[in-house]
Parts: sequence; structure tokens; C-alpha cells
Amino acid sequence: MKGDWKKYLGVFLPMAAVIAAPMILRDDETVGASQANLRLEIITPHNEAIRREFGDAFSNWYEKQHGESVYLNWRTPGGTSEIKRVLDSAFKSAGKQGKEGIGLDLFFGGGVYDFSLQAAEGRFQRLDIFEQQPELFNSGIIPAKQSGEDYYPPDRDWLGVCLSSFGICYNLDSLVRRNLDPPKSWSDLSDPAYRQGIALADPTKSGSVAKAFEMLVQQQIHLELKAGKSREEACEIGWRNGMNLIQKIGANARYFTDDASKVPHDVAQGDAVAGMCIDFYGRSYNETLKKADGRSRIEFVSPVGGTSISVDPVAILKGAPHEELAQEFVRFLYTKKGQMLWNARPGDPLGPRSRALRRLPIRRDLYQEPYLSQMIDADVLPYEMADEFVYDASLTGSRFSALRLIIRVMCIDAHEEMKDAWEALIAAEFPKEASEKFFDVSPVGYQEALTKVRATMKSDDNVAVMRMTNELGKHFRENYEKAERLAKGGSR
Amino acid sequence: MNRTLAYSLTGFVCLFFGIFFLYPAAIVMQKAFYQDGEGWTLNFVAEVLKNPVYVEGLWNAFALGVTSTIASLLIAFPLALIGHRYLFPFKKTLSALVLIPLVLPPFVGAVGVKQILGIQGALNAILVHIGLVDVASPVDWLGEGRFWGVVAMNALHLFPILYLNIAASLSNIDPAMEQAAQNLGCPPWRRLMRITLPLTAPGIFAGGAIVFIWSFTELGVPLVFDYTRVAPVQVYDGIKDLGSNPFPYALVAIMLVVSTLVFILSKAVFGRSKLGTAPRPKGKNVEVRPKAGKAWLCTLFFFAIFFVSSLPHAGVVILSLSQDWYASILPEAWTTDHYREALSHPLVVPSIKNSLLYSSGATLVDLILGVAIAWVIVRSTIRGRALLDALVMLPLAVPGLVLAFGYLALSQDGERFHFLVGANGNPTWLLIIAYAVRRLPYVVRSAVAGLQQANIALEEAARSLGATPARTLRRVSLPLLGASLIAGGILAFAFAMLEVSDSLILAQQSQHFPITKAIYSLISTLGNGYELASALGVWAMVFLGISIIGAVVLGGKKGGLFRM
Repeated sequence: MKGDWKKYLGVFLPMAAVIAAPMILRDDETVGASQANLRLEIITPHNEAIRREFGDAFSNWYEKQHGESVYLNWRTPGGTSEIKRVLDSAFKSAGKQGKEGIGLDLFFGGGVYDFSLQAAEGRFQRLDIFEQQPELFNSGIIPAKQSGEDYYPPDRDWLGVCLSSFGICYNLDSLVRRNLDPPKSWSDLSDPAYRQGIALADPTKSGSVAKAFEMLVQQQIHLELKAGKSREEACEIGWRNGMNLIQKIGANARYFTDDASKVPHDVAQGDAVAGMCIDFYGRSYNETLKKADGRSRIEFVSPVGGTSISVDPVAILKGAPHEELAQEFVRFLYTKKGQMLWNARPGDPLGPRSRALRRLPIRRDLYQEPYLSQMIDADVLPYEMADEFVYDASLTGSRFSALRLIIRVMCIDAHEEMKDAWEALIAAEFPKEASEKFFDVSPVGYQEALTKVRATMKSDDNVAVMRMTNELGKHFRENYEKAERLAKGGSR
Repeated sequence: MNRTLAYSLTGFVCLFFGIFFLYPAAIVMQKAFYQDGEGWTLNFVAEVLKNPVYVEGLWNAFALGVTSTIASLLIAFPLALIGHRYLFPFKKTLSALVLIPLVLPPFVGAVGVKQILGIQGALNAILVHIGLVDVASPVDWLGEGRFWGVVAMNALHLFPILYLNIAASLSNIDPAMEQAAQNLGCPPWRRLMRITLPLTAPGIFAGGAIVFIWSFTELGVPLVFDYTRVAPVQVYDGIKDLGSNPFPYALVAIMLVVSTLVFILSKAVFGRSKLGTAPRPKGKNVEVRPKAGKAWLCTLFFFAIFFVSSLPHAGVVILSLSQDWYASILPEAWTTDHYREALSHPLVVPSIKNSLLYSSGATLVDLILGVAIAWVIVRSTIRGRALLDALVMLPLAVPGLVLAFGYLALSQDGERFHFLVGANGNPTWLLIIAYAVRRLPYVVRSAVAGLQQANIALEEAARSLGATPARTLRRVSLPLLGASLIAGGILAFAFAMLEVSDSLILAQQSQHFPITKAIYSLISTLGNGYELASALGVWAMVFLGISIIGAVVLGGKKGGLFRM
């Protein structure tokens, strides 16, 4: 036993040191749950930096105004698809018990699609800010609609807080290696020189990603309309061109990921040449990787005329346990401090405490001096950019959910066969018959997307949806296999 | 074993398992078998089997499971055997170091692997540096590796499970058996095949079953390699789908059946030593000191395995210290800023306390339940004990997300598990039970293997001398089981600390986050999220490393497992 204490010391001393390190370095400025008098329950997909900055800023603001400290209890089950599940499951069990609320106050962040789904279920309550600060809305500081996108709905039960759009991030080193010019539009990503080099987000996992694909298709329809085609013809041809464009980009793709942050990271690390990503991700990576000479290996571009500017909203949930405080939080979000947090420099009076958030405030009046020069992304003028593209819901809106399923069967489920066929087509320089097979999207045309795909999806008959998915999947897989054989000179 | 006791234990275990595993799993899985308007149906399962993409996904998963298990065995068996038989330089240190894959949080490991195998990663930088690869056309290891890449990663991550189990089995073999064969002129190879291998069969089976089911249902590694046509990835994709798609659940049902069948079948073939229950070793295993050259070869073999299997860790450590690591063998500039930023984050200290609480609680529950279940399986003669054995393995085959969603639905206000949620939505009990259920198979397998090898005559002797069953358990069986329980307990604790699915879904408030969710939250930090996550990941690895080595150092003496 004599030497045993040495053994114990040998184990416990290093362990104590390891546990002590974070205790010593701990940052005590954030208000902890036990120190606060009030509490707010917020469910959010926002990243940790946003949660922390808004938590600290609101606590300080509220304490100055009312002399009481607030703890913001962030609920983060994951991305928007997990949040949807949590809300569905919680409201279902609350309904069973005859309760109105689920113990949560706010839903903060996500896409308009996610908020529309919840609003349709009647899970939000009216926001006081519309009555208390009508000047924000009457004078156009926060428009109801921009570039065809809703910034708040007629029911006024949710409200956009910051702006975002999808674009293309690309790695300059990889472009040079592949002898490519920087991409400027979605269609540039269809160049075969990008094969196995595009990082894409999965439209079935996120409403915002699906929206970006919808823009891409709608842009093709707009092009046909501009060329003078009738609306009917333009929709038919534009939709088909859009599908073919998605096929080409999909065939160039390395993957369709459910993790939006993976795309700019993989592009920055050179694993992908270019990718589809949210604007603030692209801009942040560009900034972080800037060298002393001001150059960065990753760049972000908004595709010309191919993207609308959408919002990340906030809403107060029905039966919120701390409703008054939640309304206060919403009011704070639209103060100049609350808005400038999104884009001012860390350490500035209106800026975040430790990290730049690189998102764009929704208040239009901040895109002028003295505020504009305090923004990190002062050169991005979203309201001017928004005019370049007007989203027209009547063109593709009713096919939105169908589009997600189509991309899944056409590109994601059949990705292996698709990539093989694409390689063969490139090698054979796109022979006519093989190309026709590859690009045959007749079962998912503009009309079929509505009458067949959407109609089946709306029927709520899961087996019918699965059969249709199998049938469409079979069409694309067989076509890709056949295209590959034809391109390789096979006879079958 | 007293039948009444056996039945009561079985009843208790089944009740616990029924409530906390089958019920939440069934709540979620009913989507696979229930159709609105039509009632119960097999349509979804039938449609899955008609879809060639899903069928191919299942085959690929099965092939990954089998190949990864064989590859793990090829690493673990020689390692355990050499460790058992020979004395060689640095044996103590290397025996502990080969366990290093156990301490890596899976998604942090993925970050490390990508850093090394990426197109602009360290491996290509080395190959360019020595002139084997042209800088203009680097190899796309992750894009082209796919199947074999996943197998290699699985094997290098999972071999310690087999190694621990085989080492425990070997330590229970009576050296007299091998000595007898040697005395009778049996050559070494034949001795290995006819004596050693059959006697270690329970250990191989115990570890092999876990490795197979793990790799069959593994999600993270195929995702790193973007290998999507494999069942677990298809399930994950389907579950996260915004629409309410019942087919991933049908796919899970099929995976459950496959896992159970493979478990039962392989148990019938390998589960029991053909030589029957070996007597507890009477003599001490004498480690041979080979000639210097051979001894160093042993050292080299252990070191090579340690080196290759710790490459993802090295990737994580280097990334956590780098300013920018891109297209170079090592980063151009180093920094400790990521550690300062990550460790000072307000999430970190509470998450460490939470993780320790959840994981030790879960390990304790597992040890108690595990011994009880193993006792019934090995020592009782009651009917249906084989079924119980297969039943407790099922948590391995159910994807974490499925069970997590089940717990989530049942823990809402007014639902049956709501009593597990504390004030302000504190999920401590919920997570302890969720972790315990998913980690139970490790302890059960280890305890079963230990009990099978422990000589029942010793327990019978104690009983006949008047010891009560409880005293027999405490004074005879548990000490005999020591090595196996330490092995199972370490696995359960380490994997509970590294648990991802339940942690992400059930710990929704930052004050209740375990360490894995804190790491996961930091990944989303813009710009240097991967570096911050790596820094906290390194902290978790060091902590777990010390815990495991500490457990081996302090408990190994009694267990005799690692002979340190």
C-alpha cells in the first residue's frame, strides 16, 4: 500500500488541473440563471455568438430601463427541422391537456417558411410593437414586403429582424487550379469543370435552402418572360431549364448537406471549389481568412438577378409564460442598439461585446450615416440589391414543396448514378442521345409538378407519396444509367 | 440460481427496459406501422424493400458492419494476444495508449480527419512535399475513398472495444490449458487455433457484436466521407426531413430486425466457448520476455496502431492550436487563443459539471442493471433468458435520434415521462436514463463474458458454506467479475460523456448542456468555430484520457486486466 498514494496523486493532480483550467478562465459577465430576477424562454436556431450577444445586450438594456436583471434561457434543440418537431410535440401535448402555451415565450430566427408553418397552426400571438411603434411600419423603415418577400404577414404575428440571402462562396486557389473564372450567377456552377467540386445544402432539410433553389428556377422563368415568351410558355420552358440547371449543378455536387455551415467551411478548406451559402457565412469566412495584404482565399458573391432578400423573423408563442417581458424583448430587437448589434464592430458602443455577427439589420433607416459607417459590411446595401430580383409567388409558390421532393428524387437519391452519367457525358463531350436521356425531366414538368407531385403530397397518403417517389426515382436512375451507357458507346 | 430471484430480477429489468426503451422507441416506431385511416400496416416496410436505393443502402450498411468488424478483429486480436503473452519495452504506456480512440468525441474526430485527408489537407501536403503528388491535382481522399475509408475509420475507432473484451477473456484463461497443450507437443499456431481462440470466443463475441452493430448503424463516419447510400444516413436524412415521412422509421425497423438476427445467429455460433466453462485460472499467466529484436517488434506493432489510430486526435490538437491550417503539413502560425476563447466561454463550466453528473449516474445505473441481467442470462436456467440477452442489445441498433425523439415526446408536460423532468425543465434524470439505456449493452456484454468465464464452482462452494446470495455476489462473484466490469464501466462512462443525439435533443437549455452539446454549439461560431470546438474537444479528450488511465491504474490491480 505504501506507494499507492503516489498513484492516487498521479491520477488526481492532473485531473484537478484539467478541471480547474476552465474554472479559472471562466467569463463571469454573462448573467447566470441563478443571478437573475426574471427569465425569458426562447427557442432558436441562431448560433451561439448571436445568442450570447443578444442575451448580454438585452439583459443590460433591460436592467438599465427597469432595474431588474433578466436571464435569457435559450432552447436550442438544433436547426429548424428539430425546432419544428419540438414545437409540434409540445403543442400537441399542451392541446391534450387543454393548455394554451408550452412554457416557451419566443421563437427567434429561422426562415419565413418555418414561421409561416407555425403561424398557420395558430401558434403565435400578435406583436404589440405594431401598435406601439407604428412609425416603424408606416414610414417604410420596416417594409411589409421587399423583392416579393414578406417581411411581416397581414396578421402581424411575426416580424423580420434581420435580412439574409443566398449566394455563392468560392475558393480562389481551387478556381485557379481548375482554370475557372469566379462564378457570378447560379448557371456558372453548371460548368462541368466544377465536377465533384460544388458543396450544396439539402433543400429537404431547410426551408431557406429550398427557397434558394426556387429562386434559381424562377430566374429561368423570368429570363423566358424577358425573351418575350407568353406566360404559359415561359413557365413551361423556364421550369424545364431550371430543372436541367439543378441537374447540372447537382451532378457537379460533392454532397447535399443538412448542415449549412459545412458549405463555406469546406470551400474555405479547399475540399469544395464553390458552394451555395447564406450571405453572412460567406462574408464571415472571407473576413476571418484575410491575409495581411487584405486578400482572402474565399469570396462570396450574390448571384446576379438570382436571389431575393429574405428575413429571419421573431414571434411570441401562444400562452407565453412571460408575455410582457417577451414583448419587451421584441421592442429591444428594433431599437437602434438591438439592430446595430447585427453588423457593428465588436467593442463599438452600438456593437456586440466580443464577436461580429455579420448579419444585416432590417431597419432601412440604418443604411445611412451616422450608422452606415459603423457597419462592418457597409458596402452591402441589401435594399438596393433587393430591387434586382422580384420574387413572384404566383409563378412557383404553389410548387414549392413539390420542388423539394423533385430535387430529392432527381439529384439526392440518384446522386451516385447521376455523377457517373455526368462523368461519362463529359468524357464523350455530351453526345446528343445520351444528353437527351440525362436531361429528360418530363415527369416533373411545370404542370406535372402541380397536378401530380403536389397533388399526391397534399393527399397525405404516405404510401402514395412513397410510390410516386419510387416511380420518379426509378425514372431518373434508369435514365442516368442509360445515359452513361449511351455516352460510353453502349448499345442497350 | 434461485428461480424466484431470477424471475424477480428478470421482471424488474424487463419493466425498466420496457418503460424506458421499448415504450419510447415504440412511440416513435409506430409511425413505421401505422397509417392514418388504415390502421396498422406493413405497407411502409414493403415499400422500403421495393425501393432499390433503400435496399442498396441496407446492403452497404451490412457490408460496412461485417468488414469493419473483421478489420477491428484483425487489429485487436494480435494486440490483445501480444499484450497478454509478452513483456516488451514501454508495454505499460502503450497498453494504455492504444485505448486512445475511445476518448474522441465522434464529430470532433471528423473535424480532425477532414483536416488531414482534405484536398488541401496535411496528407496531400506531405505527398506534394516528397514529390509523389502534383500540386495542381491533389488526391480527393474523402471523395474517392468512400467505402474503404469508412471501414478504416470504423476499425481504428472501434478496435479498443474488441481489445478490451479480448484482453479480459485472455486474462481469464487458465495458463495451464495452454501449457498442457505445449507439453503434449502442440505447435504454437495449432495451440492458438485449438485452445486460445476458442477460449476467448466469449470475449470476441461480446466485442464483435458491439462493433458490428455499431458500424452497421454508424452515422458520423459515412457522413464525413459523404457516403450517403447507406441505411443510417438515409434514416437520418429522412428523420430530419421537414415533411412527416414514415419511411425512415420503417428502415429503422428493418435495421433492428437485421441487428437482432445477426446477434442471435452469431451468438449461436461464437457465443460460448466450445470447451465449456473454463475453470478460473489457478496459476498466474507468466508473460514471456522475448529476445530484444522480437520485443522491439512488439513495441513497434503497438506503437504503429497507436500512431495511426490517433491521427484524427493529432488533427484535432493541431487544429486547436493553429491560426490557419491550409495546404500545408503543419499550420503556418500557432496560437493558444482558441483555448482561451473556448474554455472561458460561459457554457463550458456548467457543461462539464452536467456531463460528469449525467455520465456517472448513467454508469452506476448500468453497472447495477448490467450485473443483474448478466446474472440471469448466465447463472439462471429460466426460459426466455436468451431473449432477454438479445433484448438488451437492441439499444445499440436503434439510432440515437429515434430514441431521443421518443423521450422528447414522452417528457412533455402531461405526458408519462414528465415526472423525470425537474424544475425549470431540468433534464438530469431524463438524460441519466437515456444515456444508461443506450450504454447498457456494453456493461451487459462485459459482465456476461466475465460470468461465463468465472467458475461457478466457487460460487457454489460459498453458498454451500452458508453464504447468502447477496454475500456470494459481493465476496465471490463481483471480485471475479472485476476486470470485465471495469472494461464495461469504462466504455459506458466514456461513451456517455461523448453521447451526441440525446444530448442535442433533450438538453435544450444552456444551463443543462452536457459537454458534447457545448462543443457542438461552439462549432457554429462564425470563422473559427471548428478551432474552438477542437480546443474544447482536446479538453474533453485529456479529461477522458486521464479518467480511463486513472481507472485502469487504480482499478487494474484488482481486475488484473491491464497488469500495470
